[in-house]
Formats: sequence, structure tokens, C-alpha cells
Amino acid sequence: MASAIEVNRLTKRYREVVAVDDLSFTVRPGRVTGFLGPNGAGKTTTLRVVLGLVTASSGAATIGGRRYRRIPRPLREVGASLEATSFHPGRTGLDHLRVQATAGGVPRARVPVVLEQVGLAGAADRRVGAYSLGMRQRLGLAAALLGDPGVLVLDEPINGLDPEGIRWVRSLLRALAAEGRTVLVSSHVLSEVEQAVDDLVVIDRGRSVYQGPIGGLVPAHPRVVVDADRRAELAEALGSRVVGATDEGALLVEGIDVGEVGRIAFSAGLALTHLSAETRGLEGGFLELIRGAES
Amino acid sequence: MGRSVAAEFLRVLSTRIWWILALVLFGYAAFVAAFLALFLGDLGTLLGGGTNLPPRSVADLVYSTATSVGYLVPVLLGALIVTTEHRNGTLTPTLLAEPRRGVVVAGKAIAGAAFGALYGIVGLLASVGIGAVVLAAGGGDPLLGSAETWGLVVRALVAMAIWGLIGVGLGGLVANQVVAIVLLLVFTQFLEPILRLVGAVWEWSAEVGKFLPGAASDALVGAGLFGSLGALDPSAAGMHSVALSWWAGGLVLAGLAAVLLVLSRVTTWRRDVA
Repeated sequence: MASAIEVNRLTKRYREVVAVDDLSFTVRPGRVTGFLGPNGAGKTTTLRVVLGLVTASSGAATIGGRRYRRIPRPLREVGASLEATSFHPGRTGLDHLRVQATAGGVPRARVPVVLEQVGLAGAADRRVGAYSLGMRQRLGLAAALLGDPGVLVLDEPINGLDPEGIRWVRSLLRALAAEGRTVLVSSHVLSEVEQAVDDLVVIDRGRSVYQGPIGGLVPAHPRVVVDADRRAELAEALGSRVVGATDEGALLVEGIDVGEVGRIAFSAGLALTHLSAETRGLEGGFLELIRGAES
Repeated sequence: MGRSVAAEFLRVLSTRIWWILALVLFGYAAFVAAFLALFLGDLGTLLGGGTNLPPRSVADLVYSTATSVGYLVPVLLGALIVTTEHRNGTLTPTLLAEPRRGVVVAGKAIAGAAFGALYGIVGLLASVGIGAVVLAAGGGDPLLGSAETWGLVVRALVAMAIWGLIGVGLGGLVANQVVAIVLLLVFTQFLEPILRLVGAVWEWSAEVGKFLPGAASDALVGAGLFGSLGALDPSAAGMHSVALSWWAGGLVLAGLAAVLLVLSRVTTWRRDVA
């Protein structure tokens, strides 16, 4: 059983700026947890506190009940990939992993295994300076997987990947969680990770604005888009349920579903030119949350 | 601890700078040693120049070029061991693999000392190897059978190892690679030579100047270009040439390394890595 990540009343202050503000959440094993928020929301700072790189002003972050710095051979328990730029440009990908394996007490035999796993075996002998951003992401993932850890912390692992690479990372995340591992993956774009995550922790300006299963993020007030040639009559028939209009002038209706809108129009004798549920989906719910936090 | 030291060796060996520095050191020390051996040895006398320095002084002067001109190389590598990590953001993976920062610093210090000693070997191969050949070519005695020569060799290795430590301490304190390199160049190539030169003018300042790191290093090794100025150039004969004993020089140098390492550990090495 892999360890859980627990962030407990974490606050990080930099002189005047509060980067993380009394943040608490738990990341459970066997699930992929998306850590979302706009750029500058405090995601990276939080992850760096979890990994012992940054000291918290107050509160704590633990993995399996221990602070990262107290874990004897952390690479064997926690794999992390933070930035695609944290490599010496003059060192080969192979040597980077060899250094990490040596420093982390991970058997050298793991190096070719993870290189194969991320699809970098062919480029292992090239200097990282010659790698594309996508290749660096893959090398970062290889380093995270090196110790075969039960816990994975990945900061924006999809940045810079091509569509094929994005699909690959998504399926990798799913596979890791299916093996019972704890997977925490940050992103500033929900749609990037939407198909791969089970749970979400959404933060904005250092504060938690949503925690729970991804299904809970659907917009609180689903709306229907409807239009007819005789738009004014349609609006009259729908009455106070019309809450606005789209850019094209179609009516936005709230409080009733698509079927009910169709029945109302039919009984009023109006032929509809458009009828659909508004497709804001999860991204809409996500944006709604962040907008809500702003106001 | 062993893992950190092994990883540090790999970090250095997997990039190019260490052997580039070794080549530069070999070439530079060989050139200066050959030059001195040529003009101060019997070959110089044959050519109509030369000095009346005893063979012991000439040999010490020639062989000590490994440290007197070469010490910049281990201190530079030591500084690079730390500042490269700041420059490339590799401190993050380093601290993920070993979050105990004291262990990381100790690993870097040991690697710095070891590479310092390695550069000592490279520098001595150049200064003793080339220097002895040139001395012997003029019919002089290169004194390779003398215990004093081998004492100098051992003390030179110790000095180079300590210079590696000083580099790791300085690099750790400064963190910024460009600043560290500029500081090192300005101090070792400009500031310290001037201070030692000016310091030699009065007796009291010479007493202070002997504690400068380069002077302490020359004292530890037992010879250096600077201490011999008076002997080389008659116009400098009036200068006060004061040196620490070899063990006091070693203590001053080791003390400087210890102070820098401890200072860096309690300041820059404590910082958040963002």
C-alpha cells in the first residue's frame, strides 16, 4: 500500500506575498489527483514544500506521515519531476539518471528500464542540451520513476508534449494509479488532465477552492441554449427562465432541461432553429470556481 | 555519505570541465616550470644568464609552480561543483535524491578535495616532470632523489586538496556562478598579488601579509614564486619576505576552508530551493 500525501494547514509567506494560505488536502493511494489552479496560484510552492525543497512558514506536509527530509532513501518512496529545465545541458540523459540512481541508493539496473519506459533509450547517450522540451519532460519522468516509488509528484508533466506524448502521459498516470500508487499531478489547464484524474484539488491564490472527485466540478447551474426565427415570442414563452443571450443572440435558459424547453416551444407553436445544453463542462466549472474566488 | 560522494564524482566526471581544467593546468604549469628551469638552472648559466641560486632553491621554485600558479584550478573546480547546480537548477534533483543538505555539502567537499589532489598530481607531473628534464638537460641536479623534494610534492598535494575545499566553501557561499568566478579571478590574479607585493614593503605589513591565502599556500608547500622575488630580482632585495612555517601555512589554509564551508552551510545552503 502506497503512502498518502498530507498537506496540513500549510502556509508559505515570502516577505509580503502569501504564496500558500492555510492549505490542507490529502492525496490518496490508487487514484490520480489533479492539482489545479491558474499560474501563480501556489501549486509549485506547495509541491516544493511537500518535497522538502522549501520550508513552510507554518503547517506541514508529510508523505506516509513523515516529512520528506526524514525519509532515508526518498527516491525509493517518492518520485518527483518538477521542471523540465533542471538538467545540466552538458550531461547525457543516461548520466543524469546514473547520478540520480547513485545519489538515491537505487540499483543502476533501473536506469535502462526507465529509459525504455519513457521512450528515451535511443537518445540516452545524447547531451540534454540537445533535447527538445518533450524529451526533457520524458527524462524528468524517467528520473521520477527511477526508484519504482509508491508516490509520484509531477509538476506540469504535460507541458511541451506533442498530442501523442500527452496521450502517453495520461495512460501512464492511469496505469500508475491502477498499480495502487499515489499520483499527484499539477496543471494549470484542466482539459490537459481531465481524462486522467479521479480527484481534484483546485487552488487559487494559495487557497483551496475545491476538493473532491472530478465529477463534482460540473457547473452548479447548467444552462440551455435555444433559438428560433421568432426569437421574441420564444423569449416571451420562456419568461423569467431566460437569463441571458449568447454572442449570436440565442437565448440562455436556466432552471429547466433541454426537453422542457422543447415542450414549451412546441406548445407555443414555435419552430426552433437551435436547441442544446451549454457545453461548458468541467472547464466551465473550473473557471466558475476561479472567478468565484476572485469576486 | 558514501552515496553522496560517489554521486558527486559522477556529476563532475559526466561533464567536460574537469579534464579541460586538467589540460590547462598541465600546460600552464609545464610552461612556467620549464621557463624557470631554463633560466635559473645551469642551462641558463650556459646561455650567459642565470643566477647563483643554490640547486635546492631552484628545484623548489620550479617544482612548486604546480601550486604557485596552479592553485587556481582546484579552487575553480570546487566552486563550479556547487555553482553549476545553482546555475542549471540541478540542485532540485540533487536534493530530491539526498534531502539532508549537510550530507550533500560534505559529499561536495570530499569530491572537491579529491579533485584538488588529482589536479595536484597533474600539476606536479607537469612541474616536476618537465622541470626536472630541463634542469637535467643543462647538466644540473634535479634533486629527484632528495627527501626534501618528495616532502614538497606531498605538501603540494595537500595544498591542492585544501584549495578544492576552499572552492566548495566559496561556491556554496556565493551560489552565483559568474560572481564566484569573477571573485576568484579578481582576488587571486589581481588583489592578492598586489597585497602581497605592497605587504612586503614594510615589516609590519609583511607580518600581516603572510596570512593571505596564497602566501599560506606557498608556506605550506615550502616555496612559491612570490617568496622568491627577492632572490630573483636584485632590485627587490630590500623587500621583507616573511613566511609562515609549513604547518602554520597549512593550518591557515585549512582554517579558511573550514570557515567558508561552515558559513556556506549555515547561510546559502539553508535557503529554499525554488
